[in-house]
Amino acid sequence: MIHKNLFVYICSLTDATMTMLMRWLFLAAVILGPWMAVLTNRYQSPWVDQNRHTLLLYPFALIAAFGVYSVCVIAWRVYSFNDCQEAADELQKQIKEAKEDLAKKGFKFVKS
Amino acid sequence: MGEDDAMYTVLLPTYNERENLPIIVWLLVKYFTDAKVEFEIIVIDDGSPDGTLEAAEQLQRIYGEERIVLRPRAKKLGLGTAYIHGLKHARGQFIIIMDADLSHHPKFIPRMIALQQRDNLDIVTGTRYSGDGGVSGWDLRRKLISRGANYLTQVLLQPGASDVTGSFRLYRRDVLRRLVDSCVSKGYVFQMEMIVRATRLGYRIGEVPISFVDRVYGESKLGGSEIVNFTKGLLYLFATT
Repeated sequence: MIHKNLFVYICSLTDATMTMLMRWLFLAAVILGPWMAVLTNRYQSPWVDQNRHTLLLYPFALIAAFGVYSVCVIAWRVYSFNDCQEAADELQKQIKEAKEDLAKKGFKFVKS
Repeated sequence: MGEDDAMYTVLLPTYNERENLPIIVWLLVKYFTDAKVEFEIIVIDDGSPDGTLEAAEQLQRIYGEERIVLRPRAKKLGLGTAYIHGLKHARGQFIIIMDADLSHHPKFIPRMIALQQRDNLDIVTGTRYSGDGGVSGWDLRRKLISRGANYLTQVLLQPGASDVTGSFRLYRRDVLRRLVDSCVSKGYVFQMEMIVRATRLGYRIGEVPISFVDRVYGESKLGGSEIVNFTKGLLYLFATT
């Protein structure tokens, strides 16, 4: 969970009352800062010139990877979502039991 | 007074729950009595036209005014104010909030109490999304929307709990008070705001998997306006917490 700890570390560097919006903007700046430098040719180096195409694509690759990851996670969670049929059955039984016991104790149920 | 003598207050806001109220009260009495724990149930009825208050009065006669406390209001005034209203006369050191429509089952309350005591927690929240928690009565569409919305909430808000819209929770009394005073949203976004602010304030939060029995899904519940409200609430919390 490196990414999570890194995120928490970045958050702890900032003011405790910083909102999520501000943290995300901060993270975006960290990721997009270098990207902008490459895009606007601010940073000159042979390595950067050679790999310019790849470097310019990396934020989009991150977003795409995150998108794929999200779809997989959500799909898995929907698939493994517990259907609590026994809970529904148990509730039905207990409703009957409750009504009988309450009627004995003098509760008047209204017929609807 | 040690933790063993702690008293638990259940806040039960009701609106048109004439049929369900006797059952939920019966179940609460059963599980609290089995757990040998001091409790009271505060029924906050918002002027239900179906006779919910009359049912509550009958229950009060059966179980006693110490156990069943009535704090009715004239009309539907919202959840946050219902909690504040109920808190005013609550005698418990711990407050349990839950739905009165039988979607939340009191059998999970002893587990919440035990977890709270074991880990000295400020809040214990029921979760439908982790452990063996789950839901009965939801179709694929509902599950997809629910999981999708929850995932988005986790990513954007880092809320510190797996189920943020759930309303089956146990709070330390002063924690609930402080949170209710600082939350402004309505409906289930209110529940989201409560847990997010609790995490931001550093409160200790634990979770108990619960089974949620949805018997009203057939009628409305998740249309376009609900989704719009959720998104607005999410963005609001994103920008302010």
